[in-house]
Amino acid sequence: MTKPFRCSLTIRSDTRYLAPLRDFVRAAITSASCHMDGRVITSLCMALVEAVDNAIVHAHGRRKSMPIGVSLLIKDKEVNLEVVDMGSGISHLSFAEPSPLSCGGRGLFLIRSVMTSVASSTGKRGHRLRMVLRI
Amino acid sequence: MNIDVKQQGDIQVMHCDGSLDADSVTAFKKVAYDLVGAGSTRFVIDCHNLTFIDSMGLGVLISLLRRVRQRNGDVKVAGLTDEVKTIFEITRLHRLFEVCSDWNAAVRQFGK
Repeated sequence: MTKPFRCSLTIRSDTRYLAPLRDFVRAAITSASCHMDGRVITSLCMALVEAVDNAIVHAHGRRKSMPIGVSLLIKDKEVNLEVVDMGSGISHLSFAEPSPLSCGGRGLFLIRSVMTSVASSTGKRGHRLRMVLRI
Repeated sequence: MNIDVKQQGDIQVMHCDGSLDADSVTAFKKVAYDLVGAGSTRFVIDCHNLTFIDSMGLGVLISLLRRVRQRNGDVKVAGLTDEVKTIFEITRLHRLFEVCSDWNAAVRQFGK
């Protein structure tokens, strides 16, 4: 692939958008004419859904009117995913694996398990979670 | 997500179709916990048509497992698609749950 491929969208904080977001990832990969195997696509879908789950539940407290920005950039051998919410951010990014019988706390662990790097920043425009996967 | 529950003896087989995620987890929990409330302790989660599961979906499966194991029951998962199998492996939940090839095999495992 020669040219970078970028697309972005804004959704409401509503879990109904989770399935369309997975379709968004698949459609972007197809449009970018970038071949990726199924496991890589699963990883990207999973990371995006977990990040948006966190935005809906933790950052916005399930207030559906709050916007969530999602962007995806495919360039060279790298996929960048970004999720922007209106929350105050994550004071300490913990990627620790929860105990097997723990019912929660797997979101960031899952993201970190499948992505090459994860970074969180907070500014005037809200909280931004950047996730990079090198293919 | 569509959930179709079929009873096989004292085993509840939950055939799940779609994705078990933050959007559907409440519906799954309602069906499963109602069955636990009615006395069921043996569950098979048929994932043959489950296309995706997120951390909240995994959380509700673990919660169900904890509830029924307190009563000497169990939850077995069956027919994992490649996508869902990958997620189970990453989270190592394939070690926590007994994973069977299909729901019939899972029902048979309860008899052993």
